[in-house]
Amino acid sequence: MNNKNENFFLSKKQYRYIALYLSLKLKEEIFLLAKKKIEAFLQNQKLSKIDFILSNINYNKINLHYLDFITKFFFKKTLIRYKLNLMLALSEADYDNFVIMLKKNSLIGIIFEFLLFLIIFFTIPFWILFHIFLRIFK
Amino acid sequence: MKAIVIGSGIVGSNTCLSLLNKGYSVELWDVGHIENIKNFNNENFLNIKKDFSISSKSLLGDENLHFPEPYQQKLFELPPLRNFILKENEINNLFGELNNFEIFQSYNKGGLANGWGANVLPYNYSDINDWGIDFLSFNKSQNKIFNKIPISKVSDDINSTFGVMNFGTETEIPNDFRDNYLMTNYDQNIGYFRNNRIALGKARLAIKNSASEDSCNLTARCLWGCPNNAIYNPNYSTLKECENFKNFTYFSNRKVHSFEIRGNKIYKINISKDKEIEAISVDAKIYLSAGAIQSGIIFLNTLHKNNIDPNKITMGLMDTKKVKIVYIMPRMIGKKLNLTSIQFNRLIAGLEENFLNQNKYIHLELLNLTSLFFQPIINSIPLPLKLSKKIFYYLISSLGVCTYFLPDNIEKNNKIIYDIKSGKFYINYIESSEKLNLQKQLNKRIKNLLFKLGAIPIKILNYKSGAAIHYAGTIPMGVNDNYAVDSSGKVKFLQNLFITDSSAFPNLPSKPVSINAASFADYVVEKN
Repeated sequence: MNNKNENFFLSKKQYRYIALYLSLKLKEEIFLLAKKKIEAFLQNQKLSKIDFILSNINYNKINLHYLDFITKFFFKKTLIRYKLNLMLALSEADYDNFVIMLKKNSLIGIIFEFLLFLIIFFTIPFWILFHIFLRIFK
Repeated sequence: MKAIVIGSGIVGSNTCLSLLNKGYSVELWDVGHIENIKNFNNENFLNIKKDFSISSKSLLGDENLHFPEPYQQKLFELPPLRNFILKENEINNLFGELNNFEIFQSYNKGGLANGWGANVLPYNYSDINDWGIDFLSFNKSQNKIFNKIPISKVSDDINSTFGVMNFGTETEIPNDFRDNYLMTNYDQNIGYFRNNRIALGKARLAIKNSASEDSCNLTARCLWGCPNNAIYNPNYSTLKECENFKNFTYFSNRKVHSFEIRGNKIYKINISKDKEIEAISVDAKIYLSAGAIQSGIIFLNTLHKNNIDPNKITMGLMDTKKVKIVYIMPRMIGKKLNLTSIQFNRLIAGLEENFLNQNKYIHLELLNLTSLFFQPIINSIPLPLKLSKKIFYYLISSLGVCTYFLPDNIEKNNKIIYDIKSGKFYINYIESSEKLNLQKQLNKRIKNLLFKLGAIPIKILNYKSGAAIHYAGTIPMGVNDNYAVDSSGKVKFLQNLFITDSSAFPNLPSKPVSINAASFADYVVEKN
């Protein structure tokens, strides 16, 4: 695992961003279990080239929107997809998060998310170009 | 009189009990693995989540086995803490190519009934009129079994429209608001449903629901293992009843491989022990009740061992292929979920459809989403996870799944085949064009049915044959010489072998098979 940078593993910062992105409550026990499960995943799975390319992108509120989008539609067999799904699954197992998920949803929230989805859809080429340039000039 | 019963599932255990009641001395031979369900008190499905370590293990499993890969599409499956089903590698050790057929097997005490969905509906005469059996006697056996197993007694349009017999001793499982919504729409459009020979009613479930302490107390943990054992499981009821008889002996670690024949009698039973075969001499009537797949395999091994050409015997393989139609009830959006209702379907429907020039009863189950592991469903929505999650939880109370089951019949080439070279079994199974046409017709009719019930169908999920786990017909009954089993369940060329499970069924109605197979077992015992 020497050639893997820190973005492959789950840092606390990454966890915070994913939880924020998915509107989940931060829980130390979820973080610790997710970290363990991702380490196990990395030991057992062969990573693809696209995993290495995507690992250069830092997790933040904006990037996660795009990463969720491209890994959902184009690169499903990636570590990021695994991390996002795992976080949701573990949060579903947690009482507080599950109750939040059941309660905190509204039509307005969905419309807002859908508008965001459309923005991501139309701006994704620029986001990709931006990251290519960022890599070239780094 | 001595009898040996092979297999401890719903059929095997009821075969034992019927034999014991007839005064037989009974040995039950079983592989007999024991399921080790981690017991997490009597909390309901929601409150278990307060203990994250237990909850995460029960939903995802220790090794994430039940957390689907990001690219997999799964609706829901048995929770990881249930371990009564053979793992994929164990199935692969037994089978070569499965050819698009799914195999679920269990070596546990109680068999596949450890995770039974508890749906019960008796076969009518019209369902099995070409079996050639004595229906009056079969009906007596149905009466016995259906009234012995705790089944909710229901009287509704399904009885009156299709002449479905009214069995059971338990009170009905209560409806929730979504069931009531569908029932109200059904009543309002009753003319349409009557004209189209469709009836909606309550599920007949094998769940204890009287006032007793061991009744269902609505923890919504059915699939996770009912803390009260209220769902029928032979381990906690029929087998316990058998153990009360002095002349009953249970043998575990006896995985039957085949029988050895001398003249027209089985005189030895071969047991698989690791890679060795151990022969045990027997002088008894033998009742094969290991479930259609295992019984078929034991029978094939027996033919091979005794140099009998399997091609001279009609063998088959059937399953009531299941199709799921996901639907949404717009009026139920935003309603508060009741997380303490049962996980199984509380409503069923029946309709009549033409199949192979006969009007066949089609069984439907309507399930609302309540207490399941939802992440795989959210993952299957074709949108980014954040949006999928929001949409799913907004719609959750309005979502439902209608599952229907296709009847099946014996097709010449659909069967289990033994390959001498590899020592493995192969499945040959091709869905007939008639079955595929039936599926098309039903999809259309059921979509219309859902519209009339105030639900909008949104997705059809096709499952592989075998996924319904309603296996049958591996050693079918028939009059002609090429059929090995006669209409009383006796193997024609053997004095002391009887087939009591669904292996002997010559066709397979759409209705749930398990309890009808248990009734057939009693019928076979009574006839022989």
